[in-house]
Amino acid sequence: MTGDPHFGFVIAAYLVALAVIAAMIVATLADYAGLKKRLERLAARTGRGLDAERK
Amino acid sequence: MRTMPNYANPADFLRLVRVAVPGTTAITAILFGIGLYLALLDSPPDYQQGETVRIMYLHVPSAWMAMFIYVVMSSAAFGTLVWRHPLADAVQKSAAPLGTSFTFLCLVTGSLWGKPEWGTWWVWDARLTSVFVLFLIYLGIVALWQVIEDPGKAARLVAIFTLVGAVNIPIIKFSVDWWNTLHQSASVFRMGGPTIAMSMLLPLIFMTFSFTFLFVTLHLLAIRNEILRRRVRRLSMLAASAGEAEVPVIFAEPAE
Repeated sequence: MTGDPHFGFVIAAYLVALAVIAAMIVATLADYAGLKKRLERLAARTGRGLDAERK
Repeated sequence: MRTMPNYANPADFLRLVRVAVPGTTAITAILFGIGLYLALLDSPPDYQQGETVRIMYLHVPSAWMAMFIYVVMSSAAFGTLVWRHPLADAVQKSAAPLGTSFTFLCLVTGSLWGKPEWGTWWVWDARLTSVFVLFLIYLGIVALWQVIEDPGKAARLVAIFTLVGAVNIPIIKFSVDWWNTLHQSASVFRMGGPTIAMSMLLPLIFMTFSFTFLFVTLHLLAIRNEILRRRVRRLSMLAASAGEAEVPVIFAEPAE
């Protein structure tokens, strides 16, 4: 496979796919972490907030 | 007596996410393991394209996902406008960035495949242009959610925009039949069956299911995030109305 003159294009495509998929996963998890932190802060302030997730 | 869970209820949906996501994550990982093994190691090089055919195992599934996610969003948009389903807005909003990412991946891998095979990174032919238009529509939807402050208004406007944009999906699918394009015509979903060899069809099927399960997993998690964002918004407003200082206003959230 590595002897193919266009091997670089194949590698580049798989690296881009890896980057895009990793970005989607990280963005989703980071968003969740941020929301959870905000909810905890609000729950401490208002006495409500985490029940929806814990139910 | 146990009652059926009502997944339109956010609390029930969060429970579903908690139960389903470990399973879908495991299935995604297994499918990717098998799919990548078949795509990179087991499948043969093409007699004309050589090793570059391996880009197909990324390009074709991402193209299918780009269209599939738009169909999911259009169904949700219908749910928003017609039935006012409480989770339809969240389904729509959380799918848009994922659809944008898969469309971006489709365009980039197509370009990386086009250069060695066609001798050019890009041509403005019907298939490529209609997929690029889909990418712009996705970006427009993501932007609309961000710029309209009233969540209910945003949901309805985005739903109308999404349904209008759905006309592009059959254009993408049939562009290679309706116009003369540099892009090849359908070789899997066609009358008379696939024209692709089984040794290449199998990795393509596995990679397609990998992408599908990846989307299902991330979409479930993203819908959960939207539900939590609504809750943050509601509590922020409660705290604000109670006169608390420094309450961040989370805007562009769909109404429950």
